[in-house]
Amino acid sequence: MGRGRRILLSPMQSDFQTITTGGSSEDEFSLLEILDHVLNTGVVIHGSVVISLAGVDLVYLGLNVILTSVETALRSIQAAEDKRSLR
Amino acid sequence: MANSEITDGQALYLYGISKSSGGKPPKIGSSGIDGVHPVQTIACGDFLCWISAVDRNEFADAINRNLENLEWLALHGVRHQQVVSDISSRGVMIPARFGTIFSTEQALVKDVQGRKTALQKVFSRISDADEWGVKIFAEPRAPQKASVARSGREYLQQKAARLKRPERDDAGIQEFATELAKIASDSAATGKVSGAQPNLLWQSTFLVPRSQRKQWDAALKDFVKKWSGSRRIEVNGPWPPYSFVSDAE
Repeated sequence: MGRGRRILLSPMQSDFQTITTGGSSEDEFSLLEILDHVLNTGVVIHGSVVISLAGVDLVYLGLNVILTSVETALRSIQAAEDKRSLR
Repeated sequence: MANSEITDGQALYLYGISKSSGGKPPKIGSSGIDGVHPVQTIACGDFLCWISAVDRNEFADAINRNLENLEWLALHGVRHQQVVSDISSRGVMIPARFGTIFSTEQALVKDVQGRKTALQKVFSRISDADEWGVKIFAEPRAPQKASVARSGREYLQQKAARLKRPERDDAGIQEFATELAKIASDSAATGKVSGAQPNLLWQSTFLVPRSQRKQWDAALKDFVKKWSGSRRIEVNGPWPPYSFVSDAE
């Protein structure tokens, strides 16, 4: 499976299979894609716990916690960019 | 496992669960999600749990703060993907959710053994299949003559017009989704992180049996031709089946 590739499909490239195995670094997954898939669940081995480890065998991060954090971070970046472009 | 002792202040980070082949588990050369501790296995009955030691403070106590740090999340998200992908390339593994941590090995073993039946079911479903992400983008229109905004208000209006989402509810896209769903064994919603990409019309994630790859590629090509000039299709994969294992819970 390796690193996987992003494949841009274009009618000009009659055989896009060649592209899927291409080794150019531009074909690597983008960060957004990685987070999309990595954060698109996976098996939850226990309920949703976060909090303190004291007396808790396992800590699992609720997906919503993660996504809310990502949204917050992306929004603050976007806001900073908007500000800059309006200047 | 070579050295399963975790010291005070550490926890076990779980990448996923594979079936035990009885022999020696394949060696994963890369370091774990913290970039330091090696990836190791713990035998759990018929299964192998893939773990590495992590710092308890970083991954538990301070995790909320770390998650809001996009740099931290990016680095660890990418490392998580690299490790899961490395292991998956050597055999089927059910990926664990990002951020699954156990405080002791005993707790992990006990939990995994308790869900044996559910795990077996998932294994049979994800074997010989890969996850693929598919996105449709509207092709940007031919560049128009740049219009100069005469006021801040006009600038914002122009910007809003450029950013306006194109129509998503389209019969052609429905047809495309139906065609892909016929070939794939399952599909799932995706794009929680990248959903705001400009010109994105539609996206979904599919579980595609490796035996169906030719049909899958052919279907994609058909639509690439059909939509030439108006829409662009982007496919990413193969991914470990992150989005198709939640019923092992």
